[in-house]
Amino acid sequence: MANDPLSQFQIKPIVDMFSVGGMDFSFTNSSLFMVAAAGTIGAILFAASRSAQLVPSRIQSIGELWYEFVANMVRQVMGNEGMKFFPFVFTVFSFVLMCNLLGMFPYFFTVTSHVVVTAALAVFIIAMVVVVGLAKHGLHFFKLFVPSGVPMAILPFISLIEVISFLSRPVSLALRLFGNMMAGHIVLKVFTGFVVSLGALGIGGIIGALFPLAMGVALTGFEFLVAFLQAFVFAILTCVYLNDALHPGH
Amino acid sequence: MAQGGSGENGGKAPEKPVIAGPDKRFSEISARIAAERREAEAAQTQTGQRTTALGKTWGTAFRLGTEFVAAVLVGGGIGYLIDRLLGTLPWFLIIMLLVGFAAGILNMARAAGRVPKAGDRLNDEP
Repeated sequence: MANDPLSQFQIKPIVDMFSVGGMDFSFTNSSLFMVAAAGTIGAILFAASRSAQLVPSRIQSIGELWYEFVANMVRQVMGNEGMKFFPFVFTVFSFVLMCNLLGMFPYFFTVTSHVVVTAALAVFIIAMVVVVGLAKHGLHFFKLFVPSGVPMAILPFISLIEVISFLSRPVSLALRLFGNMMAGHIVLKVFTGFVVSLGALGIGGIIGALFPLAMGVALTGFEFLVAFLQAFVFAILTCVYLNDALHPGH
Repeated sequence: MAQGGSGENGGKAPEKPVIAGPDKRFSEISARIAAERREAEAAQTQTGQRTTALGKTWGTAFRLGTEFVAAVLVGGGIGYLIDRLLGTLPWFLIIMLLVGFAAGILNMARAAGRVPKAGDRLNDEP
C-alpha cells in the first residue's frame, strides 16, 4: 500500500459489471466490505441465537448485550411504542458499527469514510421520518415548521429557519459520520507514516520514531472509541428524529 | 434530547408467576429467585442508564459542531440554487447564508437542550 494517507480511500472495482446511463455498477472494494459487514453481523447473530440456553454462552451473551443495548436506547428515546422501529434502528446501528469496526483492520476499506454512503443512509432515514410523520399526522405534520404563538409578522422568517433546520438534519447526520471516520483514518495513517519515514534515518531516527509510534497506539484506541461512538450517535439521532415524527409528546 | 421519560423501566421482563405447588420449599425458592432477579435487573438498568448517559454526553459533544456547519451549508446551498434559477447571483446566497447561520444557532441550542424540540409543537392541538 502506498505511503500517502489518502490512497486508503480509493475505490477500486473488483468485478467489472454493467453500467447504466453512464453510472458504473461494478462490484468495488466498498461493496465488498458492505457485504462483509452484513455477513459478519448475520454470522454473529446466527451463532448467538443458534442454541439458546438459560445460562448464555459467550457468543450468546454478545448477542444479548447487543440486542439489549439497542432496545434500551430505542425505549429511552421513543418509549415502548417506538419498539416498532427497533428492527430498523438495530439494522442501522449494526451496519454502521460493523463498517466502522471492519475499517479498523489494517488494509481494510472503511465503507463509512465515504460521504456517498453516509449521505445515502441519512437521506433514507429522513425520508422515512417524513413518510412516518405524514402517515401518522397527515398535513398536521407540517406544524413542525410553524411555531405557535409567534406574531404573524415574523412567522415566515421563523418558518424558513425551521425548514432549514430540518433540512440540515440529513446533512449533519451524514457529515458527522463521514468526517469522523475519514479524519480519524487520515490522522492514524499520517502518524504511523512518520514511524516509517523516521525509522529510515538511522539510529537517531529510530529513537525519534518511538513518539509517533506511541501516538499511533493511542490513536488506534481512540479510533475504536470513535468507531463505536459514531455508530451510537448515528443510531440515537435516528431515534430522536423518528421520535419527532412518531409521538411528538414528551 | 428526550430524556424526560427515563424514570420508568417497568413493563420490561414480565414476572414469572409463582406456581403455588404443594411443596412449600419450591415456592420459597421461586420467591427468592424472583427477588434476586428484580434486584439484578434494577442494578443492570442503573448501569445501563449510566453508560447511555455517558454516551449521550459524548454524542452531544460530537453533535454541536456539525449541527451548526450543516445548517450554514444547507442555507448557502438553497440560496445558491435560487440564484442559479433566477440569475441574481450574490443576493439570495448572502441572505440564505445568514438564515442558515440562524438555523445553525437554533440547531445547536436544540442539540444542547436549551430550546424545546420542534416536535413538541405537534402535541399542542391534537
